[in-house]
Amino acid sequence: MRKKVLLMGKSGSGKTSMRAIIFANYIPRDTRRLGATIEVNQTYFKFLGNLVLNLWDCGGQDHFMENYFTLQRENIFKNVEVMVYVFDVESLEIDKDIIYYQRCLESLAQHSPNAKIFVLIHKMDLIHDKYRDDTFNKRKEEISAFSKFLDVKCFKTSIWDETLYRAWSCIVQELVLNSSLLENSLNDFADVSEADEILLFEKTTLLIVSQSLRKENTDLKRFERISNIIKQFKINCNRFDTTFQSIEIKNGNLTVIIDVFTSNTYIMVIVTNPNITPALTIHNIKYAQKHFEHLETSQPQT
Amino acid sequence: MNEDYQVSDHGNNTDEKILALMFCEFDIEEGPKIKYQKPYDVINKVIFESISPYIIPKLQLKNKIITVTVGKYKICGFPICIEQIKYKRNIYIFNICFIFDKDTNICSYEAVVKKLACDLRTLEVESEFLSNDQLQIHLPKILEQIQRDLNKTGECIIHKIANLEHSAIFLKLIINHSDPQLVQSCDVPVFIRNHEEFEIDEWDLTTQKIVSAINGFKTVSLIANETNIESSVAKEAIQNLLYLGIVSLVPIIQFSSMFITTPQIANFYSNYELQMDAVRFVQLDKEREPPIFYDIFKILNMFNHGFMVKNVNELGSPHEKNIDLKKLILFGLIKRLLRKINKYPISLDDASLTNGTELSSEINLPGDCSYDKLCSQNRISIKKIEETLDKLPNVIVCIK
Repeated sequence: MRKKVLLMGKSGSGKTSMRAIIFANYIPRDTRRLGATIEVNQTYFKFLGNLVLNLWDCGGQDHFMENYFTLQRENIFKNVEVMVYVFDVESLEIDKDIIYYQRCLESLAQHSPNAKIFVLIHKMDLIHDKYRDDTFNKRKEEISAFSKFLDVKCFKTSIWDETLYRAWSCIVQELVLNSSLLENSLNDFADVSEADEILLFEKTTLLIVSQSLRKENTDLKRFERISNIIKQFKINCNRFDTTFQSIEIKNGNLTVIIDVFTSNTYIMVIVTNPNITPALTIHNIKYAQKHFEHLETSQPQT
Repeated sequence: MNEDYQVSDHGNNTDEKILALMFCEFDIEEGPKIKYQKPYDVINKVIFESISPYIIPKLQLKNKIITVTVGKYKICGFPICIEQIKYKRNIYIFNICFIFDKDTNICSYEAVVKKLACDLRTLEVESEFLSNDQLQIHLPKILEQIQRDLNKTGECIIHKIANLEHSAIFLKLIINHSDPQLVQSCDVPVFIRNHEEFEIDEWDLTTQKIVSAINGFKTVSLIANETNIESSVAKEAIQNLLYLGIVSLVPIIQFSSMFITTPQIANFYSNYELQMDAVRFVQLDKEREPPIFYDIFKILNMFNHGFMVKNVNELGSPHEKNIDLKKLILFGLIKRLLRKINKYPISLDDASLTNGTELSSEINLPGDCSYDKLCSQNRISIKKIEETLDKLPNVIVCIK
């Protein structure tokens, strides 16, 4: 199943860099050498067994933007599942940015009225820690004012920390087919293996596809942090011509197993019950693989 | 050089083929835009919007000649992308486009477009000529000059740009010719352009010598002999002159030669200018009255199968009519009003004969070798050939 994702935003806001980090294994530093995107850069990314993300990275120069809203309007804005609009937090032309954003909303309303909209306030690392939350909230308010009656989710992001993973994990979770089915199965699995928490990551991007929580945890940022850490580790492994396979951590408080799960996912299982040995958890994971493999490749339930 | 032996060819001037030159670049904020159009704005914003993907294209199309025809214009460009970290967004993209009328044949311009693009690329890499605003302002003037000079003379030389070192640009339009025909020893070169137009002194010595020997009646082998130049070298030099359109090749004209009129003769009848050319060219004696077209036409039409030049001379009395017959034939050949009738001996035997005549050693007569060719190859006269061939059995002669 193909799903179209529009990546829009002013020129230089960071769209291509994001795409490179999440989908193409770039490390943040390497995005420095990326060139400007000429018009639309279309790529296809196979996500899980049954989903292909069709990413439309749209160059943000004025000339192109004008084109998208006029001659190319239908071509660009039709059949869109998700639009990700990127605002550069340091932009000096906020009004102009908002106008472009509005025009995108109009065009979407016309051609893909059911599209989900995500707004990323990007390059947050350039704002001092102290002011980050305030700046973000202010921007969020402004944008919400212009997106009335629409379900718009805002995130603050930066390529230099885990916030990028948080935003994109949410985005892909919107697109994953059978997500409720997946979540239910994960919950069942968690119950059976007496795990505190289970996370399912997509293999290449390390974005979180699904999760199951049996026990409360106060650190809300832990998901994206884990994505980020494992992704970096994976890239480093690739550099040395090896592939990341699994991680096993055991200390007095818990056991964490991260392993290859299905052909498209990694699984992370956290167990605090001292009676359950790592070997047992690994065993459980192996037995669960088949079921989830099947889930992934099955057709969507309409 | 004796201009009597040169038939003029009405060449065509370079019209104002290049309508304008356009410099486009990729602006970091605005995207693709036209920076300058010289001498005047041809492409407006609306047209540019529709063609900009071909002017400032995706990187896969860089360094290629891309020609777009839109409306009544044809635009030929060579997009250049320079990827370097020093640029904002790590890239600098530009395109120098030549704008023509949509029906213009632009084959010969493509090389110039490419060269100019590469020259500017070098200037940019070495001195930031284009990306630096202070230096870029010199560009419009240069574009104007290029458009003007190339249209006027087909050449453009700019010695120094904006006081930058080693910034000369040399452009020249090369008219594409098709491959020239092979030059044979029995061919006769004749001038069809006024060679005084060309600076002969600048040419190589071989060509200079050969040029001095060409008179419209001497064969290549004779010229080579006279000038003491090796036959293959002489042929090459003449082939070069052929390629440049300075000479044309015609067959030998002898008293025993036979010619015949072509269908173009009808055109001659109605083309006044051509007739005047003929009168001027074939006039035998400057003192006497010039010949009249009627006589010229009449004599030309006497050429037919079975009539040798000798016969026509007797029958038509060109001398009385103040017509130089040889020149008349030459005129006819160059203007395609006459063609020569050749005789091709064909051997019906498979194996070589052993008759002991001089010819028999090379007795391969497949039929593509005319008498003329045989003559010049073996350096014997036609008469001798005929005598020899008469003696050989199983040889037929094809006349066409």
